Amino acid sequence: MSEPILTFLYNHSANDVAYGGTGEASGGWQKIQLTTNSGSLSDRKIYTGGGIHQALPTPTAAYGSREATIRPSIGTYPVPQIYIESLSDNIMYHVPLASGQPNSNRFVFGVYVDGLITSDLYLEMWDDMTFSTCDLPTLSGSSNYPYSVFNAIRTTDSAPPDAWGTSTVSGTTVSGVVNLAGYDNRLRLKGSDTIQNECLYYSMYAAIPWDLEFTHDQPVETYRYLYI
Amino acid sequence: MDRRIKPIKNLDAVDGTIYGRHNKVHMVNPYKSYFIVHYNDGTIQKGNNLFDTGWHKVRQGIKTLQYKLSTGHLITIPKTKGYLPTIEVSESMEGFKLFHAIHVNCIAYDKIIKYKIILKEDNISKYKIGDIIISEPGKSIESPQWKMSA
Repeated sequence: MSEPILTFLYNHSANDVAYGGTGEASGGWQKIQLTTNSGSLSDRKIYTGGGIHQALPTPTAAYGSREATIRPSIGTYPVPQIYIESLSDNIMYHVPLASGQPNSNRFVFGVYVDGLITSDLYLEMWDDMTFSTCDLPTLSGSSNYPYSVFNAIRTTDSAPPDAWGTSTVSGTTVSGVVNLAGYDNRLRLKGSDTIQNECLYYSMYAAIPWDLEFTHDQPVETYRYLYI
Repeated sequence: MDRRIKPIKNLDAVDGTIYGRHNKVHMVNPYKSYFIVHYNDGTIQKGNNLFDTGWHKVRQGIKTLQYKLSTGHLITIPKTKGYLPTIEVSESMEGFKLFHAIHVNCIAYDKIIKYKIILKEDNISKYKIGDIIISEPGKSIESPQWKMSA
């Protein structure tokens, strides 16, 4: 047996439709380019917007552009835009369905699994490539909001409930939202222990609490799984 | 094939190092770690590596199952009725892979026993490369890749 090949995807269109490919760009879905040993650099997920100009241009923005965001005086502030910054294409691609979160769009981000995984696929966030600590302010939160600012929800089976509130599953009220931080606060992308040749979906956004320390963090987004 | 483990420094025949904000991780070399299966007829089958394990080529009738790590550890799994090893890995959106452990699921009489072989060590975790954590997962993995003992 051998390792499955994971393709990380984002929906660059405003159409809330499932991915129809098998690991390549398809329809409005584009691939997130990874670092390779041949030297090309990976794409980056950029959370931005809300400041003086409110938003960056869409559907693309110039490489390296950033709009200020807001630390609110009370409560939390959802950062309104997410882009995928492509170092290979020298441009930033907007992810329109991730705007205005928490919304009920379903097909926002995806992971296509080519091969067999014998566990769930877990979305995690860590400080760095050691995958061992969550001390960055964006992951550890603030004194009054001791949670990661990164909110994520599985949408493989269905769209998120309104405002990402609770929903009823088999008569039980549940909340599917996870504040991503390390091993203990991670998101199961399927909800079962076998994944084969299929695409899993999730949505996410960053919400800044009123007392978060000013920071410039670059936590890493990771996917953990088992294979034979 | 591009195996995407670029951020590992000094990856050689033994291991590699990953530097974080305040932690340093050593990981086995996944290209140089593999299983060894002994059969009753005296033949020995060697696996490939941790990416393409080669487990599907293992025959039924295992006498002994061992794991050889790049660090020199040779780990013999206790004899049970059957075996199904899985690899635990994390993959970052940047394309980096970190190998955490090999989970060897074993059929021991009426229950499943799991031997978790640690593949990394750092300044924080109490576990070291080659340590084995024994547990009862409570559920079995359904797979045609279970290989039974002789």
